Amino acid sequence: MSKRKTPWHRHIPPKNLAAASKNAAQARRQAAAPPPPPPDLWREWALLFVFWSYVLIPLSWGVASTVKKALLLFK
Amino acid sequence: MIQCPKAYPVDFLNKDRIIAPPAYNRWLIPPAALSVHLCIGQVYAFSVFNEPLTRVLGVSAAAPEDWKLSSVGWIYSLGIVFLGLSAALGGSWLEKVGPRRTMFWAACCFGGGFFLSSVGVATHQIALLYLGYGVLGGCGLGLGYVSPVSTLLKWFPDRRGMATGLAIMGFGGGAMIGAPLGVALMDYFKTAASVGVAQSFMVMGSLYFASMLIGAFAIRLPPPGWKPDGWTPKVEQRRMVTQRHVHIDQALKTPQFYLLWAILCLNVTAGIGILGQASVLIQEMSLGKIGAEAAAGFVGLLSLFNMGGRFFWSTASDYLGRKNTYFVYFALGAFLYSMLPTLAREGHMALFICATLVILSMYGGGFAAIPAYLADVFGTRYVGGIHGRLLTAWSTAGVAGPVLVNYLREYQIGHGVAKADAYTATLYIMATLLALGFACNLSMRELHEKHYMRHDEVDG
Repeated sequence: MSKRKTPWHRHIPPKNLAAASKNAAQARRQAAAPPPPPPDLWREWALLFVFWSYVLIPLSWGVASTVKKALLLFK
Repeated sequence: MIQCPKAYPVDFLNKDRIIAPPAYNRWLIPPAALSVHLCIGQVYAFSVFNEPLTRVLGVSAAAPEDWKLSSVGWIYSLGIVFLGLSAALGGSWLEKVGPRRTMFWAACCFGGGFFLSSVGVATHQIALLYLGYGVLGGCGLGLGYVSPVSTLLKWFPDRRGMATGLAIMGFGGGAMIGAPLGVALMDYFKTAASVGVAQSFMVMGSLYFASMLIGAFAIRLPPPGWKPDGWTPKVEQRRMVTQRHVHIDQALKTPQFYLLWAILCLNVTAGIGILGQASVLIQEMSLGKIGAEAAAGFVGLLSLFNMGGRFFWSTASDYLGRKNTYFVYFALGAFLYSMLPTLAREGHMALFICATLVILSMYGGGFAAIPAYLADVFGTRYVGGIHGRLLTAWSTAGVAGPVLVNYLREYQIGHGVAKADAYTATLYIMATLLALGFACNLSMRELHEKHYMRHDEVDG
């Protein structure tokens, strides 16, 4: 007596079948979508430069005037 | 998930609106913190207005109806008291609403304090200066001081000391900007009929308000569960560094909180012993070898070391450990303080100056490393609120310290002690205070298990 093969989809319960097909569709979409853009390093470095300059310029001015005053001690 | 109260209608200030995207560069956060601290650090330079405020009516010389220096001195003292009070009360609010809303209100209070004080000078009502710079400005100081610190600790879990040192260094640097800025503005606005203080207050209030707002809008919180790339908390933690969290109210029930309060208070009191009297101290102890002009240079040098020490010592604490760093402050500080009278008596003024510079660097370092010490002991979740409450130690020391030093000096001179020796007892008392601080630091232990929050209680 020949052994009757179970159709492949019977191995998967209906709920999991739906999930599997959804995952497969998502994987196809992701494969088709363009890769995420590389991080905009120029923008990031420009922001860092501007923002750090914004705080360091007045601080340097303050430090320079204090150093000028401190030099009086060595006159 | 970070929850935000719905009761606040201006939603761009809300905590959930400032969560950074995943690849956000964390080095954009320190300038946001610095733009607030560089402004509020102006409080250390308020003394440049003291003398001009005593001749608002007389302009060239003080008129009989002009304010006395003793009345003007209360403006700064009130500012420091309200700094501590607002930090203590606003700290838990900061944890609830996030740093942007707190920094926004800090900008409104600090800028508004200047505007109200300007009206007070123009109408010659000192109560408006007390209310403006003292109360309102003091609230701005407290809220502005604590608001970026806990955010920095969350962004830099691997370099807690360096991160807080950067921000708090800004507070020291703020005085270096505030003093020449105030003098330059008064020079620009002064006329035959005005000392130019009211106009200077108006300009400074506007500048500081704008700069603090920039900081408020640039601040970002890390996404929940964020960690620096490639960093994992060490599995074998040092005993005094926790990865868990303690609630603000629970922290107040631990002896460790009060020990840290005492540590900050004693360190600040000892530092003020030199900082508040630096000019007179060096002139009198050098028996006139150092004149008023050189003494002003000495004060400038102290400010530089005060600022530099904030960054240097707090960064060093990342490697030495917080407890060891405070051991160095207290042991070395007590030794140097007790050496000062001998160095002055024997005429080693260069060594005297070097010793005071090291002491001042550790005074600044004590301020800068304390948030990281708190984060090590109580965790980072509520460190902003806990730090706020700890700052009442600063208010206490800021008011009591100078009173103690002045009283001791006058008592000694009143009992016939020579001016050059009048500081000797004060310096030995400061060394004793630091020895007490050493004992408090020695008593610091790991928290008891019962104080930590469970994982399901930590909401963000």
